[in-house]
Formats: sequence, structure tokens, C-alpha cells
Amino acid sequence: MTVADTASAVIANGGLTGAATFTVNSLTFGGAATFTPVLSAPGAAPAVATATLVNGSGLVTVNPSVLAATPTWAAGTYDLLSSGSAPTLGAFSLVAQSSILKLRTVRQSAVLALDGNALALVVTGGLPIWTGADDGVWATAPDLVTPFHQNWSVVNTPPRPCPPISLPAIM
Amino acid sequence: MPTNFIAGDYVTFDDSTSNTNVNISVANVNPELVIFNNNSQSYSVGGSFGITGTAA
Repeated sequence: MTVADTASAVIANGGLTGAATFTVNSLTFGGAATFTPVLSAPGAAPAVATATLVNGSGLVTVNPSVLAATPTWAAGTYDLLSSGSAPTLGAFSLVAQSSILKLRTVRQSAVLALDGNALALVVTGGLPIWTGADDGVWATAPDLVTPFHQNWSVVNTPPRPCPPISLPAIM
Repeated sequence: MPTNFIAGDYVTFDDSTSNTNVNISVANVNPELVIFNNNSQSYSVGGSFGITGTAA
């Protein structure tokens, strides 16, 4: 399958009510295109799987979203596009953080990375869960830095570690 | 890790705490999203102020 060399050429999986993997034997991006993967949870099957991936000269814009029934992004690694060999990370460009729906940019960030032979989205940063451990008062702090009725906790699930890089031996 | 609440936060109330009395006594709070994911704990949310905005 070939995706045309234009940003209006879109490849997507599932739809907002599903995040099933779209499998295609061969996928060619003719150039600039838009990839809109719909994702369910970190560690789930990739949005798109292909045996052979070919990138043209243009950047492919990645505009990810999480399932409509999933209220927030959980921290972790989401496989977007798996291939028979590692994709070229520089051939893809993530939309602005503020354009990623449901990403709480004050606390969370998302970047593209490689996860083995898959292009992946790595989300870091946790969202507050009530503890009531300070004084049980729910109050609005002016910022995240100065402790103020700290009755919340954040758990930041670290992304899966990257495989070690082999370095040449020093003689 | 302890943290503050800031306006627009997505917040969750679950079963991981023993303090389920939530006192909104300083001013109204304005979360973007409130998720109650509680099965075993019963929460009581009260105080002289309330929840405002899209999550109210």
C-alpha cells in the first residue's frame, strides 16, 4: 500500500471506538503524509504493522490519539508502527504537544522513539491521584513547585528501557 | 510522589488511600476531569466551596 505525498493523505487504524491493529504487507509513504494512530494502552499491539516499510523524502506527521473511552494518557510506551526492520525515526514528526488530545501538557510530555522495530510514542509524567495525606483539603496551588495542601500523588510509570548500545572496544 | 493540585488537572480518586474525606474549604476548585475509580472505599466530598468548570 502506498500513502500519497501530501499531508492530506492519512493512514489510520481502528477509529476512535477501537484500536485494533491495521496490518498490511508493505507500506510505502510517498512523502509527506499524516499518520493518525488510535491507541489503547502502553504495551498494547501496534496501531499499524507491516513487514516492509519505505519512507519517501517528506516527513510523515504523526497525530496520535487515545481511545474515546480512555479518559487520559497513561505513562508508558505505545507502539505506533511496527515493521520488519527498525523505522527511520527522522522520517516522522510528532504534532505539537498541545495538539495531542487528552495529553495534560503541564504534567505530561510525549516524544517519538524506537521500540525495537517499532516507531513508538513515549508518554512520561503522571496525573494526580488523591491521597489526603497532608490535611485532606482540596485546594488549588499557584504552581507545581511550592508545596500547597499536597493531598495528591503522581506515579510516573517509566517507559520500557531502550536496548543497550554496543560500542567498539577500545584497544 | 506528593504533588499539588493545579487548575485544569485531571484527577483520580481510587482505593489507594485511607483518607476519603475531601474538604473543599479554601475556594472553588476547577479540574478539567474528575475520575472516581473506587470500588472498596467510599468518598465524602464536602466543604464550603465546590467543583466548578467542565468537570462540575
